[in-house]
Amino acid sequence: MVLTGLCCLLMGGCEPENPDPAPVPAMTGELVEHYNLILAGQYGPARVRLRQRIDTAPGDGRAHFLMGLAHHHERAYSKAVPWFERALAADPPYPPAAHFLGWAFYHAGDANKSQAAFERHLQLDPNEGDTHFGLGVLALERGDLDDADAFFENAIALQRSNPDRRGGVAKSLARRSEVLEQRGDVAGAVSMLAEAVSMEPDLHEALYRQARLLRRLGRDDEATATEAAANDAKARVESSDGRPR
Amino acid sequence: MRRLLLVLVLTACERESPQILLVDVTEQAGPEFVTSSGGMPPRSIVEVNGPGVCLFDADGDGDLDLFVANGASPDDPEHGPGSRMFRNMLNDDKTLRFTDMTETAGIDLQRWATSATAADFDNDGDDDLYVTCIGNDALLRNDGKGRFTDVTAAAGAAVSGWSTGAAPGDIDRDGDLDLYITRYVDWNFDAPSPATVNFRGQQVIAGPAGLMPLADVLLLNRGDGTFDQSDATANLPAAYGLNAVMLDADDDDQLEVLVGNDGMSNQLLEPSKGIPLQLRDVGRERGFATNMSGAEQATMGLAVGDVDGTGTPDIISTNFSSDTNTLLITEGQHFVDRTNAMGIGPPTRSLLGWTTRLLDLDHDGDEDLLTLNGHVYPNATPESMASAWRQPALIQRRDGDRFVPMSFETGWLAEDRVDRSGAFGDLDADGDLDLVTAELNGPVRIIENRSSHPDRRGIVLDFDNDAFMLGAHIIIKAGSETHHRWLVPGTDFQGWSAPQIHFSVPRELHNATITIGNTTRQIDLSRNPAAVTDVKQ
Repeated sequence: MVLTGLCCLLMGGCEPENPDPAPVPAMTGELVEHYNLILAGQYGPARVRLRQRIDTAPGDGRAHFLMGLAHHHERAYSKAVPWFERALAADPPYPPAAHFLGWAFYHAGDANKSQAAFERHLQLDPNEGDTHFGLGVLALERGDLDDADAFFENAIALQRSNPDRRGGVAKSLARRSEVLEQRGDVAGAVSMLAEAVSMEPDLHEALYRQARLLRRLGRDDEATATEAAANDAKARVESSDGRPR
Repeated sequence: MRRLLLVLVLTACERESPQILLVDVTEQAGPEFVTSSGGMPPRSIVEVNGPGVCLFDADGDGDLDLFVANGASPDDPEHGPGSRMFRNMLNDDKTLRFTDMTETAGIDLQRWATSATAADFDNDGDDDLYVTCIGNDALLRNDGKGRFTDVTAAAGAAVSGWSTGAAPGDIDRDGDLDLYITRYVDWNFDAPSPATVNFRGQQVIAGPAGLMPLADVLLLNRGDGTFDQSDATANLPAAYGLNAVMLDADDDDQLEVLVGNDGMSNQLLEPSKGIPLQLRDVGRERGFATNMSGAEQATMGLAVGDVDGTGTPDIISTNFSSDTNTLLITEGQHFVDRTNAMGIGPPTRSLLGWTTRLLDLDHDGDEDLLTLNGHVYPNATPESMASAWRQPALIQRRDGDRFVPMSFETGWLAEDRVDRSGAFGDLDADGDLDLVTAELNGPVRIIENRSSHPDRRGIVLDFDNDAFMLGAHIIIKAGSETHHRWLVPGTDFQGWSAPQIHFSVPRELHNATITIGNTTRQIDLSRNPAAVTDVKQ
């Protein structure tokens, strides 16, 4: 049903089920300060302040969302989940919590709940490209190349005209290249990865993938240069295998 | 030319549908043994990797005995409770029972040991033991009757530092077994442990990042079980080595060394053609070094099998939590990451994997995947690190083009533990692979495989741990089926499996062929046990 809705949305010709995003309550007042604390990596102080806010206004979905976001940014995904769920259950709900709930479940290893959360967010906001991207990743992981291709295509289309979403387009192109590669179109995958890294030069994972595909195509000189670029990009962007450094 | 004994064992039980059933029989079978690896909970990285287990026929009586490479404590790493040898007392009714034979075997190894490799280093027809340690490694020579003599110094095998595993193979093609020894970090028990580091808001054990890596060592056999340390690894960077295997990965009739490193690029070491021998790391150019995103993973265990049915060895590695285990499919000389495409990745994201093995658990003809798991941080919880300290083993059953995770409500497969090393072998000679596991500061367990299939039966073939067989590609043709196996007992993390391969065939089938190199021989599947042939000519 979701995919059908997306096709209607992007292709035209039929009325989308929910063409308008659900309203998102604005962050105001002290919540903006708490949000900035989270962005600055001050998760503990942010949570202390958010706890006080929730004690005084327990029905504020925005505060519950930020509490979840503080855990999410700290990669404590299981702790984030109940806060996102409360944000969605609040009146009014805070719709972006469904999107983050999808990623929290994804990182916690629950693909089914991740899928459900992303699909719920699509009902609340059909135009969020990163939610389409998340569903594409899930489809890729369950081996459904057709679904993955469609979701990545949507993610790219929804974000391409927004200059602030170049990174979102780039990573969607990078993951969509996996669909092409698995279908045997290695050259097409290389081209798609090249487009991705031209938009986002720090996307070192895409550069590595491109290098590996170039080696498979026998284009060793290009592969070596691309791998060097990947190393440079990785040095610019701290990467981790999940272990403390 | 020596003869190769192929032992053929048929499964007897029948059930209505394929069933995977692994049963912990330790309480009845023994051994009653709890491993040591410092304190519990561990407070430094030296305490987290745990013991090693090794299955081989120590006393030459035809069944698989068990050696446990046991640890010690940081306060006195040279004088722990000691490694142990257990004799398999398998009797005619195939009831498993292990008894301690450490003393009669002449084994007195109290140093902190990490793994053991059983192979015929001196070419006298029995398996010797190379035990990796934190401190000097030990080479124990077997007299053929299960009595061992420490010949480390005389054999030139006193590799020092923190060794984690030893991969045997005839890397220089001179007809004897050489040894590639992985080493981890330059650890000094007398120096204070590094401070803890912050990980996701938790204080956790530091390392290996920040600690000095140790270079691996290649020992070349002189032909009589004594060794020269080779300069072939001189140009390779030191790394946090945890596991290695010698295997002809690219079908060029030459073994390569595949090295799993912790938090650093894995290595694919290709020997030079000329003399002197040199090893060159081609891991990056062939796609073996990282996952497809270029991420250096924390590789603990390796598994080898023909996952895509092309007759070439594909590799699965176990890795850290919040990362995935990785499946690399060979495509010509390249490895292609198919982790997600074949369903390996997502179920392993919350797990931290160690020993892993591809094996046909349900006897349906394709190989399933079993992985032992457990975190290194005692304070790991699903809430704090999206991963728990104690974790269950994971079976991913092969279903068409995908591996599908199985869940179990009861029994060994449902229990959470802090597992580390494992070794596989047909302990009760019933035609399937059982396993021995070692938990961190926990019991050694005997897990009996009671899986069954209504229409098919399991076959186990025994080989020798010698220069001809280790790393060999074995092709079995049974009716319309072709099975590819590689004899690589040392892929298990700090474990050494029996030199056996397992496959399954339709019950009505009575003949098969086995091909190793240029030699093909018949196997009589109707005999139980034993079919004897010679595949070394």
